[in-house]
Amino acid sequence: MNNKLKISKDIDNDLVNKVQQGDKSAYDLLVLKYQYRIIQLVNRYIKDPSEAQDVAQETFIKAYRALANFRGDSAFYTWLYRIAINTAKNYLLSRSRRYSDYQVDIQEAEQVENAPQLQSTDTPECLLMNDDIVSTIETVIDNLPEEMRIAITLREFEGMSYDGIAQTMECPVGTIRSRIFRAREAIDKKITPLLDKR
Amino acid sequence: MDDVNQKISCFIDDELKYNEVLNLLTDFQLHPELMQKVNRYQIASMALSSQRFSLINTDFLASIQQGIAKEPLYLLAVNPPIKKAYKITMALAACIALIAVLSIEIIDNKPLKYNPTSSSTMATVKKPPNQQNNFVSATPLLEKDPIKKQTTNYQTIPFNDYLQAYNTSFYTDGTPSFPPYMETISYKQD
Repeated sequence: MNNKLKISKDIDNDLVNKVQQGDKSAYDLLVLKYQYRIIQLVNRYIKDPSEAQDVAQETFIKAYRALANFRGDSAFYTWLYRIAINTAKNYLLSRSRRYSDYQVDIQEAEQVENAPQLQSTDTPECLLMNDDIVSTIETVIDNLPEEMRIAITLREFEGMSYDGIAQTMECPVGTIRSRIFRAREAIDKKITPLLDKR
Repeated sequence: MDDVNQKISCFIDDELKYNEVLNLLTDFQLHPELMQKVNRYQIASMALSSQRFSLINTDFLASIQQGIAKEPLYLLAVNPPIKKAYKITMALAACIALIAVLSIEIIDNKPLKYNPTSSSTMATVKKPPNQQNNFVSATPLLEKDPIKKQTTNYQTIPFNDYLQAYNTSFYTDGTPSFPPYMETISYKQD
């Protein structure tokens, strides 16, 4: 197993243990860590963004209720992923019962798993805002100092670990942490006003 | 604050150690606004990797917290989970110990299952020196059979001697001075 994945799994299991011992706030961290991934996953099945978020919330609540049964045999995210898919499918089935003209196409959602760009039914305003933010981020990255641009690019586009980036750029891991953080801060300063407008 | 933000950056990349994650958890409890920072970093990350992102409602986490608040607290027993590596080590140690015991048994050429000299299987009975002669050796009996004579010389005789040496039967000439639990067999009966 990849060392980074192993560390992540261990940390998740430690957080789950904390929740199981009565620390509900530890669950907040797990929610924060996986909320976007779960929403993206649910979005493949449920195209309406607000419904997808409701189902994602339900997923996290269901997972909390079932946490006593989680023994750490699989990774927490794998377990959560299954709950999310089942919750989304159940939601679609219950909705199809309510609206008989609605055709549930779960198979379609599963087939387009690796093509998120095909699933958008966003409003023109949302699409415009999306384009605005994406182009702002790209402009910020283009204007970053080279070492920061390479570090954030390797992380976000290539999905490399900090250790891998450090080896590629021949510098300490601490430097990579700092470069990626400073790049994110530069992006954050530019996108915060755009997000606040919403 | 930069230090906390840097930790958040590492957190969304899964690059934090557990103790740092716990520190971050404390920071979130003290400054809930930091969670917005997590959201914005994640938005930037999603927008970069997939050119698309979803805006999460500001009350996303709060709704989950509200839903969970009604749930009972988990208060499972604090038993540190037994690590797989520990189990494997213990299994290996047990195997090595078993192999060592078996090897010693084989080298010593002792029977594996039943060892009558063992203190745990039976108490050793010391026989008086004058009674040692009361044993009847199996050897003369075997020598009467000419067919088996040659084949049993090296195999059967030591085995029979062994059986006699460790036999609980005690051959007597009628002297009633043996412990009551011993099986006694008289041979000089009138």
